[in-house]
Amino acid sequence: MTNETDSTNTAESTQPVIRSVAYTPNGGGDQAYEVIDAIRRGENPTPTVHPEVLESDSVINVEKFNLWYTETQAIHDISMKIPRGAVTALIGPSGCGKSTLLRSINRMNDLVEGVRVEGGISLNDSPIYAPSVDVISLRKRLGMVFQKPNPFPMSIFENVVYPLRIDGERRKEVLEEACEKSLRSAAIWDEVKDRLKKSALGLSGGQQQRVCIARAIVADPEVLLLDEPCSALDPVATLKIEELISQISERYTVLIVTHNMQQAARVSDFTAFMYLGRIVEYGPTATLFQTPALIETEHYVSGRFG
Amino acid sequence: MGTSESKTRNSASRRLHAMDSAAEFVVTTGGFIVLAAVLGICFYLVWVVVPLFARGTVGEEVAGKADGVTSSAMVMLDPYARSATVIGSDFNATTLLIEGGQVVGLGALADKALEPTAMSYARNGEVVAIGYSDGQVQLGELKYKSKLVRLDDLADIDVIKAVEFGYIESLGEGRGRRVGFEHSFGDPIQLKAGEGAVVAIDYRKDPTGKKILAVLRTDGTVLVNTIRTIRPLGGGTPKAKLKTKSFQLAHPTDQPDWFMVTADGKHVLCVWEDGRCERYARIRRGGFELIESIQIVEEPSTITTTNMLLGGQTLMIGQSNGTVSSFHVAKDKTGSTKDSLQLVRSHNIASKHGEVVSISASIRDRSVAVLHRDGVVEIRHMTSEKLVASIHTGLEYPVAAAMAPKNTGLVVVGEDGSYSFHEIEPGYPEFSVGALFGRVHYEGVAEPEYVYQSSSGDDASEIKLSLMPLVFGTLKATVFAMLFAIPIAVLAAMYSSEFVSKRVRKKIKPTVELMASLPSVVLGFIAAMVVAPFVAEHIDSFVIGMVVLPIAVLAAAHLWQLIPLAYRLRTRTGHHLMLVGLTVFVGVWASSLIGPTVVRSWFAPDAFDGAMLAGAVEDVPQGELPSWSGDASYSTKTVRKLRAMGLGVDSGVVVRPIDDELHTEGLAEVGLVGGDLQRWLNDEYGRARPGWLVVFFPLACIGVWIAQAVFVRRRIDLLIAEQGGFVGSLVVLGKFVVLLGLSFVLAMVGAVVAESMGFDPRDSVFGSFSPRNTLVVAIIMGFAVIPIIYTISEDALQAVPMTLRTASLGAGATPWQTTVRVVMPVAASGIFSACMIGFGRAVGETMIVLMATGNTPEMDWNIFSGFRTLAANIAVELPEAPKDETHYRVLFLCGLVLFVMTFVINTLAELVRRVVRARNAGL
Repeated sequence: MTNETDSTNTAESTQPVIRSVAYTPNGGGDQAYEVIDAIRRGENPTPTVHPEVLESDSVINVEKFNLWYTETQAIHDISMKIPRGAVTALIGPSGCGKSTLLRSINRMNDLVEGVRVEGGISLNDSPIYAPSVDVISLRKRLGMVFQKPNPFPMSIFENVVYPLRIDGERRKEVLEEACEKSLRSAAIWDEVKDRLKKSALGLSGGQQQRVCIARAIVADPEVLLLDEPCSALDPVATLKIEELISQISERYTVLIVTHNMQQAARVSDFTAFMYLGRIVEYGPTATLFQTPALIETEHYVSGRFG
Repeated sequence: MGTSESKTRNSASRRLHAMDSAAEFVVTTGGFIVLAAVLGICFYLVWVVVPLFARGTVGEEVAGKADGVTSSAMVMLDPYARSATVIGSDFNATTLLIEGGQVVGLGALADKALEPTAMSYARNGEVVAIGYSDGQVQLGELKYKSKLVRLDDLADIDVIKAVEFGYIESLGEGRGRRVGFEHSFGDPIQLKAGEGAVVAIDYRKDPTGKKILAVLRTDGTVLVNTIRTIRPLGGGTPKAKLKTKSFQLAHPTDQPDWFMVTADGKHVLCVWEDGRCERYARIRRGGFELIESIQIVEEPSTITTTNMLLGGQTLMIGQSNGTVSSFHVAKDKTGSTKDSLQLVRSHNIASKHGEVVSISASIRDRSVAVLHRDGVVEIRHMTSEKLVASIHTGLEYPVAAAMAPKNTGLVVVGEDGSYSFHEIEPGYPEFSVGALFGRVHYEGVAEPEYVYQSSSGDDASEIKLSLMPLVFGTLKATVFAMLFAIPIAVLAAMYSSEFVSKRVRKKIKPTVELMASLPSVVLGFIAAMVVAPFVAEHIDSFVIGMVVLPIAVLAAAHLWQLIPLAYRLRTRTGHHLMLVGLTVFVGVWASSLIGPTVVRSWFAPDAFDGAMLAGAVEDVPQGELPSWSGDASYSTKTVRKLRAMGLGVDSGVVVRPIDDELHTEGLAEVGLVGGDLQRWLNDEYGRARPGWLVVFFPLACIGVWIAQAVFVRRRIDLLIAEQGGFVGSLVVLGKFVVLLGLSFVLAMVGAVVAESMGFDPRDSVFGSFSPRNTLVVAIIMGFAVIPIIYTISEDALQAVPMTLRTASLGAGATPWQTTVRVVMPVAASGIFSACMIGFGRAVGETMIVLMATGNTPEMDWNIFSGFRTLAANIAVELPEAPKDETHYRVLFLCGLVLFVMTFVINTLAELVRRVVRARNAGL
């Protein structure tokens, strides 16, 4: 067994809400994890998908998706539907393929050499991996926020309107309006409205990340992809981002990868638990955290393994 | 166990400490050595160069008085500056020893019975003439003869012993040198024309050895004689034979105060005290005529003395206010004189020391000793205007000064025979800051200019040390090479860093870096032996290719858009490369195919050229001439303006073709059927228009592209967005074609306008073609600096954090947008450094420019001419520069200038790098 452990943030460990629920006396550490053991053996157990997921309208549809980094298979035959207008969290231990899956959706994995995929993903019913797909226009339909805040070395204003600029938008009033709107959505307008022309590199990490979120939503993406957006931030900044995610989820479909179970529990409507490139259990967040179908999930979300 | 372990640890720690301090010592020493070496080189350069700026040094004064001398007029020194001979206005020569003033000889130079009336003395006595009252002249020579003697029988002499007309100087070891004054004159010659006594006489020798004698007689007749010395075969005295041209002064009674002839015998100059000057010259093969009469001194100053500078071409005048001016005959800019020449003032040097009494010219260089009324002598170099030395003598009535033949001493005599002698060490008179970096008015040219010409055939020529042509050549080579190298290198770096896979990059980079290891001598050799002839032969294709190739690449990109997206997305990098290669190949092929044809039809001689070359022209009646055409005989610009109107100029007369026929037979005769780009470049024929078209077209393209980006792009973008797909691509292609056409029209309009205003590209970016030219250097030197720019730029691009790229790509930017908008600004400082390092390499590059250019120190931007760089200059001239002389030190100065240039460039690069780095500090 690999000894990968999730570094649980001390800030969250003070919140007892979830921890007290998950424990089942007849489970225990010595009980065999059927599904996970099967996965470790290289088998392909059927993932436990709760019916609520299947019932909802999906915006992204992953079907029998496999991905290899040269020889190593990182994603095994995943099929899942991402519900529209909700926040879906991908959780799982390091190396379980959750980031890879996220990056497959806007085809950022194409940039990695030796990546090969099988199966398909579709965004609003249009396939992403069809040979005739223009990657550039695909990415324009998705917004992405990365692990580490990565503002460009430009002014805050230019950072936010970058996606519009590259589409050739040059009318000042349009840009200014869009900039203000998305900075407000990203809950940072009041902090930066007087220094829009200053370099974004002068902001704090949390502010930078919110500027990046503003940048990701400025072009009204169909789905917002968040790849562990808080892992490089301090607890206060993390809290702000989480509040922000809750706010913007009213307007956007959000897919978030997180290491932090509490975060997933706080911000998401649906959660998928992944392990070694496979979905283990996928369902409404409340169900998954309180009454999961699998003992593995229960133990994972309560921090007893992983 | 515990103790032994701690012992081991102790000894280990001691060893580590020892190694640490040893390493620190070695590293520090190494650093110091490097620093010291760089500073040492710099200081050594400065140390060699500094003496150039210093004045000459002057020794102690030796004063005395020669007995029996009452009316000194001239003085000369022997080559060793031990004795002087004072020539009086009574035509007596008194030789004296400077130390002590002992008179050792006294003799009459002229035949007193014939009443000598005038005397000429030039070149330290080498050419002396005396004129008599009966119109006879006597030609001769005053000189010091020196020979080595044994001193056995004269063992008692200490250092110097006076002998008749000279002295014997001990050289030690029983050897001595006997130096004695001698004068030898031929028989008097009766002049063939004019009447009366000889009023003034001037006898000159030019550097080729030709002797000219000019004589003015009482009746105003001037005789200009070419002297041929005939030595009888059987021995005996040589006889002088005169070939005479005579003419009358314009005002025979108003005889000039000074009368001179230039050493080439072409000009006779008459100068009056009040500042008037008349120049008489030979018009073609005919006789002498008065050409110009000008005032060369401004009121209230008057002329107090005149002389000719070494070489006998430059007239120097001394004025009552202490100013010394020099004049020479140069090409006339306004065309108002009969011989198209004009006396121009080249130098004007003021002095605070009052009236100039005499000016004596050195026979070694272009220095003069200017003697002022207050007894101060200022030794100046007339080209550099450098004050070599300023010497105060106590003489009350100084009349003449003379420098020793090797400029090692200076003697001044007073009216009464008192004299003052100083040893001098002139240092580096040719050198001055003004002569180095400013325009200098050299002998024989109409205007001050920048010229570098460090050596010449004879002493009389000026050494021209302006470094500007070399600095210019260095910059020209560098700028053109960088124009070629930077786009290629930076684009290549962008390509391999941003557009290809890691696997490919790993192969490309070492390959390009391998290019850097090519020795520059090999590149230079290839440039000179392969590229230069190739460019010369395919110049047509090269010129056209500069336009065709970019168009071909852009056209290919637009055509590529027409292919449906689905197919385009399936191509791989390899296919792209093949397509680009194919495009370039087609572009080159098209250039080589259409180049010669296009050039021959554009740069072909038209009916006008045919008529001009065939001589089928008629004079244009005065009434039909444009009012501004009056200066057509000498102004190129006017000629070109006329040319644009269909008028030509034939030996100063405005002409037009008789008919509109193409005189093919005339063109065939000069081999110009179909035209020839090289001959067009050499300005043999043709109008300016096609040249301007080639120059303006790229500029027009850039301008039109910017204009459309500002005004119409948005609308077109919207249109494309509406139409989408294939139609959109068609619109883009259409836009491209329209813009191209528009650029062409604009360029054509610009060309016509520029031509009608009399501008011609052959005066600036184009010009006469030399096979080893800037284009060749640009290509090969560009090739030499591409690897270094590429490598450093590539590293700079690679250093840009990957997160920025993913952020941009994740936002839906194309790789190109990502590169240009995000990666490039961050890598800009590194790329700038790369360019500057490349620039520094190109500035110092020697072998390529040495081998691939003609090394002619020219100063124009013509890309088809050669140039000389500072580095190449050092390499070319160091072998012929004698150690520690001016030339040698000037070459070190070139090195210092080069050092400073690269230092400034590198510092600039570093400063820019810091600014940009500070901007990106948060990354």
